Amino acid sequence: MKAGRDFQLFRPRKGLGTKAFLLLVASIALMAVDHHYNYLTGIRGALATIVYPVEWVVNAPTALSRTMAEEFASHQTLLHENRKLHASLIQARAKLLRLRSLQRENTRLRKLLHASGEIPGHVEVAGILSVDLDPFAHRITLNTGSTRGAHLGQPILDAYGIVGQIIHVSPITSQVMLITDPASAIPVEINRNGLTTLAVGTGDIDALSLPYLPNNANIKVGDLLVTSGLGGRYPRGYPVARVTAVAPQPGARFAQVTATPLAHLGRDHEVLLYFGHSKQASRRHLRGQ
Amino acid sequence: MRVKALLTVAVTLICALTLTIIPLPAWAEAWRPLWVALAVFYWILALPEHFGVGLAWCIGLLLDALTGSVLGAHALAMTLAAFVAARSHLVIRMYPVWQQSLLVALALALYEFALFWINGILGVQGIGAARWFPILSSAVLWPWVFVVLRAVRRRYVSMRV
Repeated sequence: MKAGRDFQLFRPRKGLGTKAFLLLVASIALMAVDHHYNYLTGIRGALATIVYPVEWVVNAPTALSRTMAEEFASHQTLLHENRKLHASLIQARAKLLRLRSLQRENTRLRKLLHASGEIPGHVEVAGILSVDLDPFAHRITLNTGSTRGAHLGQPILDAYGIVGQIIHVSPITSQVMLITDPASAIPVEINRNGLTTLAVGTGDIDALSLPYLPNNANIKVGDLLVTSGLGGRYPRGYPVARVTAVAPQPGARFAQVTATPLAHLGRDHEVLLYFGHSKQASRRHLRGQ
Repeated sequence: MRVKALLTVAVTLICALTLTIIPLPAWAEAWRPLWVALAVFYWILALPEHFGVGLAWCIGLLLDALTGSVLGAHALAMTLAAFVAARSHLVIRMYPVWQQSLLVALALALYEFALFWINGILGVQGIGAARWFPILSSAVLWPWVFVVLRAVRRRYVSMRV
């Protein structure tokens, strides 16, 4: 009879609640530390290395198809492409010639103004892994990690403009937050008149929002937005977006201004890591080499 | 035999992680089922003496590293959903599969809500109704996941692990 009283059909397991509670507390502590400090970079790096094979497998078909396309491209196609690339290289070189003299002139003028000289940066190519992360966040994964010099906060460009910045880095991969991510804000200035503001991500891959411009701000459709260099994260003077709509809001404090990113977000296979923005970063990069 | 069983579970979970980041067409992206949560759910229901909230927490942490969310977000959400599963696994196993779908949807609603709430605290705006699409698609897919994983379990995991 005693045994019968103890018997319970749907008896919950002992200690389950305690265990779950401890794990919940542990997750909350982790989140708090991860959100406010950088202590967990090592742990995240280790975890990201553990899951790297999964990313590799998911990326493999795309990588394979690209290799196959290269392997089996006809002689004619390659020749054609080569000729085209050669032509664009000559054009780019010609532009660069002019740029160099302009740069020298700029440095001289800055010296006359007693302003600090610009530190020229250099870039390195990194491939994008074709994996889908959170659909609500605009993130990409790169096949380049801290062993090749990638570091937290590093600006990422492509051939057309600013792409975003590195937010997580592991030894072999890194994650980039695009400028269109809802959590992203990039300090920009209007190239025409130097008016500075912030361009905030909207969660739409084709749109940035400029929410802090007053109704009478001097901004027009078609204006080019370049990085202002304020905040010290992005280098100065790189193109970001072009203004597509300006709608003054008579009743509100700020106008509604939207812009389209110039970088080919979501269409790139390769991006550029920007080095030399901070001395520490370039030192770290040299050590990495 | 024990190693084989563990390996089987690991392989199914790795498949689930793979499906989580595999590229989909843009329209299907918002509907991507919560594969990892479904797999964890199944193993907790099938082998409750061996897998519970601990496994869920570890997998959640891997998911955090994989998707780049704040460390602990998916771990917390997964632990909550797994707690529901582990707590009432005997009850859930009594139901026919399609009714299990409803319970899965309920647990996953808890999961999504936890993530939604964490994102809210961290200042990332929630994105309307699309947040709840994965719960629907996961609930619809649960019977198939259940059947497939049951076949895998019967084939590779002996009854007495």
